[in-house]
Amino acid sequence: MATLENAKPASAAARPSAGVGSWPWVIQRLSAVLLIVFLGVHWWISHFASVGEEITFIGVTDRLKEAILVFVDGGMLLIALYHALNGARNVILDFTLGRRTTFVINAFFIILGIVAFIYGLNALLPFTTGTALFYR
Amino acid sequence: MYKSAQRRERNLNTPLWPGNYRLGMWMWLLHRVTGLILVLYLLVHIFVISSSVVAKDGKAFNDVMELFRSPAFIIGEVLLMAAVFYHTTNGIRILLFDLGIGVRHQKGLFWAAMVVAVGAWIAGAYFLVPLAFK
Repeated sequence: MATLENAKPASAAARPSAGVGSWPWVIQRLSAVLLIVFLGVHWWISHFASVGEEITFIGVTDRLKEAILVFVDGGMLLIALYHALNGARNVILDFTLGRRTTFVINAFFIILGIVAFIYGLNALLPFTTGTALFYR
Repeated sequence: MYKSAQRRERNLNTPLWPGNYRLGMWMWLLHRVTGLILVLYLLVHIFVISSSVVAKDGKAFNDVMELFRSPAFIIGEVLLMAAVFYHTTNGIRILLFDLGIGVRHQKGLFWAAMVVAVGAWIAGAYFLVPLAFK
């Protein structure tokens, strides 16, 4: 019968990791705490400070003259993407997969994260510098 | 008695069978489900807003924002807010356990988390729901 006492953890070979130890786990917790703060600011600024006020391009340009809010948006993009994609990765990797599959999944989430981060950051530029790096 | 002991042993060996879930397991599952919903939302949020900002058509951003003011989207936001508040408060609970705080009071902390989540959700909905009926 399986009990906590005789249950053995799977060997390192059977549980492939990204080779980065427990850092993803630690950063998942740190990003969670930061997200509470950032999401609070994000929601307050864009929805609750002036409930029902229309969000417009001019309005956002005006708001983002405040450097700290550019920092909040960019920082939140990074932290939310990390927390979200690492979380989704955790859900998938709980289904103990092979080494190769794990590598492909890790690579997929890293690339998706980098692409989404650049795509999102690019959209901050029209509000701040006036021109984005690339247009659709 | 023998039958039930046998069944008990069999059930112990299938912890992932939902019939064996106790409160903590349902919360774990809901944490994952709300998490995955929020992951999908985040990616769509980044893609839709960013591509409207960098569209050649200068007023695409304003058009998208106007679409988001429609009742269906506001109700969607209120539902999304429920997922966020559950995931946040249960996440704080998990974090406390990781720090070794309150493990023995996990059920009490669950109800505390739910009171905070529901309270925050009602407060948020109080502001957002009227916008859907303007």
